[in-house]
Amino acid sequence: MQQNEAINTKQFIWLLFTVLTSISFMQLPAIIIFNAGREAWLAVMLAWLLDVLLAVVYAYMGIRFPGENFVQYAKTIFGRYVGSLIGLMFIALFGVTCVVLERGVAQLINIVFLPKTPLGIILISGFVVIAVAAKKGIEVIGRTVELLGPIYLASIILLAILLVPDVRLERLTPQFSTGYTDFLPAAVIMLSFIGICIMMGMLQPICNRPENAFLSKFAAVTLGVGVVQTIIFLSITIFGDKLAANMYAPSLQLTRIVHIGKFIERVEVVWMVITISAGIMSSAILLWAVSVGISQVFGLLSDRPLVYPLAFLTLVLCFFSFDSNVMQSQFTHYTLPVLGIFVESFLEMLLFFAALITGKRGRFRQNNN
Amino acid sequence: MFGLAALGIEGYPLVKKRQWAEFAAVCILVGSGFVIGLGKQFGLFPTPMEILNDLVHPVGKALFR
Repeated sequence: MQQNEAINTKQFIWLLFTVLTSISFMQLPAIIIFNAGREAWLAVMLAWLLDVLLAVVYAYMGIRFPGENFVQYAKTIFGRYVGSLIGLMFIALFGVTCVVLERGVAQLINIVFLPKTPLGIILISGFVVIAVAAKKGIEVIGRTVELLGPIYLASIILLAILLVPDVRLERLTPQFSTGYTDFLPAAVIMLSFIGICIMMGMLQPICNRPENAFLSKFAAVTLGVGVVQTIIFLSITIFGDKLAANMYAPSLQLTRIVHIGKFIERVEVVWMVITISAGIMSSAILLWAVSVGISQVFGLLSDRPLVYPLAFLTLVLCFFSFDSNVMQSQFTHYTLPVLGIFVESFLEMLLFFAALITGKRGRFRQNNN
Repeated sequence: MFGLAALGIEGYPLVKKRQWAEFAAVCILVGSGFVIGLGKQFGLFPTPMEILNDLVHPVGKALFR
């Protein structure tokens, strides 16, 4: 039988925050600056606004289909076969994001800290931890991120404070030098990344207070977007938009210039440990979502036996899907945003309008099956 | 090795409990991993993510800078 798990509202917020920030923290600021230049902050604001509007739809669907996640209510709305297909698309997005995220983290470790270690070793080590965490279930992951999330947020706030002396506000000007709409594609990319918070659709049914879903997502997205906005602001005002746009991870470069007096330097190792931990927990959350989703689509009695095989499959995809680090960056820049927007916005709006037109509603489910 | 370990750890208890649907799902997932890995290793076919990338990348390239 499916495990009856429950998380509280605080864990709900930190789970969403950790997923969103891990995915958005490394490569995304450079991609946004590359697309929007000095107006990157505006792209982030617009994406936040659109994501909050989207959260209203997800929260409404969660209330209309109580106790059901989007895999389950897709089946209720569209029937077994079409609904399962739509459910699989949501699950596939989580799987692809897990692969891209873990490969990104492994690449960063490989390039910056362990250049002589084969990438495969880093990936296998990472996936063993991810698989064990996902196997323990969402309650354990929830408790871990409840501890890790505030440390992660505090480290970013501390980083920002320490970098204030290096900020040059004149690097933000002139604004709109190339046009008033040039930042819009960057807003779409940003929306697709923070849209991974559709994870709330998987977490809402197991939250002990599902009516708080919208406020929880609002808090998580606002915190996460605040973090990305801070990194983008610091990157542009410290490095300038041209240089920041061509960095692999501007946040890492920012940590490298931090020093306290003349005796505390190279604090990036501390930051890296926190970031890798958050990345691993995010991958575990995504892997958990994939295993739960697959077990629901195919009507299996339990999702736990799927975790290790799925970890193996994602490890294989992680290792063999990208011939080089550049390919992973290209995938993150051009392919993942299109997939994200299609699933997070288009498919959910399709489910929303189909539910309204057909008048279908859910009935409360006690377990997740 | 990782795949075989996953199959052994998860498969054996499922066979003992006669949960054949779950066992089939485990076998399919591990099998897919082997097929994808070997297919790519011997240059027989691309991985699903490469196929996805080939399909979607041009759209992303047209939309974003």
